[in-house]
Amino acid sequence: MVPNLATLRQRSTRWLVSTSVVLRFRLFSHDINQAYLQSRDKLARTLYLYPRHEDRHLFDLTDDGVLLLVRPLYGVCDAGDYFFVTLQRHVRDDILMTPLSSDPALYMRKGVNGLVGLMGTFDDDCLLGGTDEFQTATKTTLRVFEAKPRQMDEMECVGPQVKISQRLPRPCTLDQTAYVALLTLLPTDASYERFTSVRTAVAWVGHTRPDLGCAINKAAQVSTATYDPRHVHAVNKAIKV
Amino acid sequence: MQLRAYADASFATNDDQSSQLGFITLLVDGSGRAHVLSFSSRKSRRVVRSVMAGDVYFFGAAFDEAYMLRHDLEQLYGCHIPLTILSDSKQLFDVVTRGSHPTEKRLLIDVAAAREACNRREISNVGLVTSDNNIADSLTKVKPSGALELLLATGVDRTPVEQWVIQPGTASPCPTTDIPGV
Repeated sequence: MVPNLATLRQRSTRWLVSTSVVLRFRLFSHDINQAYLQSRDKLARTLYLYPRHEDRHLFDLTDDGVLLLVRPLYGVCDAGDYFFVTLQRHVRDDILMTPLSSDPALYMRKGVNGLVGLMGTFDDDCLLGGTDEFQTATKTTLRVFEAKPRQMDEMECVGPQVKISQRLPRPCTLDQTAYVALLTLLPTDASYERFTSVRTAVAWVGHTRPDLGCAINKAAQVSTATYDPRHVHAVNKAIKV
Repeated sequence: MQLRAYADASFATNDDQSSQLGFITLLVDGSGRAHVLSFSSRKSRRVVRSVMAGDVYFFGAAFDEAYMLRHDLEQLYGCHIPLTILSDSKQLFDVVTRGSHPTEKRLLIDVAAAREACNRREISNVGLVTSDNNIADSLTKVKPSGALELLLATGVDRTPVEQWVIQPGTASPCPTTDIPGV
């Protein structure tokens, strides 16, 4: 079962990076500014906005007037879905890429001699890898959307830091060392709230550490009722590894 | 190139007596160099009443994941990629590959699904490995056997397989590239 997630899965990031290394693609990323405001579709539901008193003069509104929201804004809970649809339409129609069945946010583009490029989208961030021709073709994204300049070879993609060297054979790293350095051990008498906050922090490392998968999942099963010091030991042990 | 999935279950080891289940899928080339594609470690969503129930339940989960991955990989590379599933449960191995039937009905459904996947050649081969060599072991136990750590350190998967269900090849496997892997 593939839930219709609008965001790139972690395994797809690894997949994209490793495939790019094997096929000698260059990696780069796009970051779209104020993405949710760039959705093309109008809101399907009727949504009214009640502006703050001090902002009313901007809209020439009387005190009891409301605004009708036409397009999604930040803070509208389904704004992310609207942007995903806009971005997906752009990737399909303008860059001619097809989404993969296991992850609707991972797209591929095939040329005459096989694969020429891969693209993963995570909200407003896009991670791409491809040939020279693909690099030119995807410049369209930067024209269609208002975005920051393209970043080459070194970027952070929702967790792991991706780095690819330009020297052949182009060694590549996907790591979270900078993040791990920030983790601290828990005192044995830590409160449950502190425990939950640290376990979430540790879980983030799971993106690059399959060997911690079990410890992370077991820590996630702890609830207020079952919480006791041995769980703290288990989490600390995971941090130390 | 082939896709290899390891599945494992550790029966009733959690605080609430539920079982911890894990699988890991690898893309392996001819010389055994491996890349971790995906992994999962989670608690069983339903009560499994025996060691084998846990194993067969996650054998199914590993297959579902690997099947989807293989579909996409085949699209990406435009060639057939064989899928192998490895498990350390002798009982599961026997029940999937031979005709014996478990008594629990829910289990029977899981087994039937696994068996059908084998018979339709959706799984190219099923192998039995020892617990110490099962890479998914680390995903179900806090004190792991070290097979996963070895894989991560060396990037090579040369797990010895005790027993295979050998089926004649369906199509020629995807040629391995000579470019060094990740």
